[in-house]
Amino acid sequence: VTAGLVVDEEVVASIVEQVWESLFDTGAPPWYAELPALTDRVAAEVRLRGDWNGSVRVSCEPATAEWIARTMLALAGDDSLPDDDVHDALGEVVNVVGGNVKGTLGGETSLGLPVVRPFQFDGREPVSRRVVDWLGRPVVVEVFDVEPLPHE
Amino acid sequence: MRALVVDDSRVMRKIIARTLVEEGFEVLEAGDGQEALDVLGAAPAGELPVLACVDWNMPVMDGLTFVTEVRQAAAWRAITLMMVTTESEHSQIVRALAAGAHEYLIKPFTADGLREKLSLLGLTAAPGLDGAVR
Repeated sequence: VTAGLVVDEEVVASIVEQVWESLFDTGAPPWYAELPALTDRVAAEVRLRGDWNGSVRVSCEPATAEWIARTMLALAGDDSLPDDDVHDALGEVVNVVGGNVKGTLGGETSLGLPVVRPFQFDGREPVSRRVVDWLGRPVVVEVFDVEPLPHE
Repeated sequence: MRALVVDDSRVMRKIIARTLVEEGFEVLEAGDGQEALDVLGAAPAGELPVLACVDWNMPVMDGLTFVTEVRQAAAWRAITLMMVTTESEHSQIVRALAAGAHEYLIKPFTADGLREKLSLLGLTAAPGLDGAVR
């Protein structure tokens, strides 16, 4: 846990809004309903290390991740899209969100490379969470002040 | 005109390339700084890109190292270097410009934001007085 530097929830919401507008040309409406149990989720996570240690994670259902990628690439629904590009797109989203979170922290903190893999609940509680409504499905953006646990 | 897009994200390379192609560039791509150096090294002198859009955080060789390497090579002095990165702190911008980058575009950006930077660099064909776009 890093003392002294705070990730402000409103700032994270503002970053998410800015990222959505720039990458997707749309707003980032909040998800108001209770978050449903998502049995199948893909997660992209990027670490921040230095004066502030933690990570930023973006997770959603695979079908939502595919729509995110299609939107970023301006692809129609019937254009083929490799899984690698879907993962790459979600990784870029977390990279941009993470980079902008880092920019608000001050101090000397470096941004790692994004890692994309199936979501795995690990018990960490985010210091900030923003759930965005993407065409009726949730996209969860979380900031943790602890680093992710190693996965298999 | 050729442009080189250096980013470890294939999706981001496509996003940047889309705007560059609309602006009349032929786009080359590289997934990291070392691959980009290889692309430049393989290009005949007359076919070097006039512009390189360079991400900062990449595996193998990061963008700052790439910029430094390019600036040290006399044969590549004419290449305009633009960082396109999430690194938004003032200190990082200063580091990149000191290393030899000419412009700095912070992610996330819009296509218009990229066009604006190209215009500042004199690398875009702005609409003529008759409204025609190249």
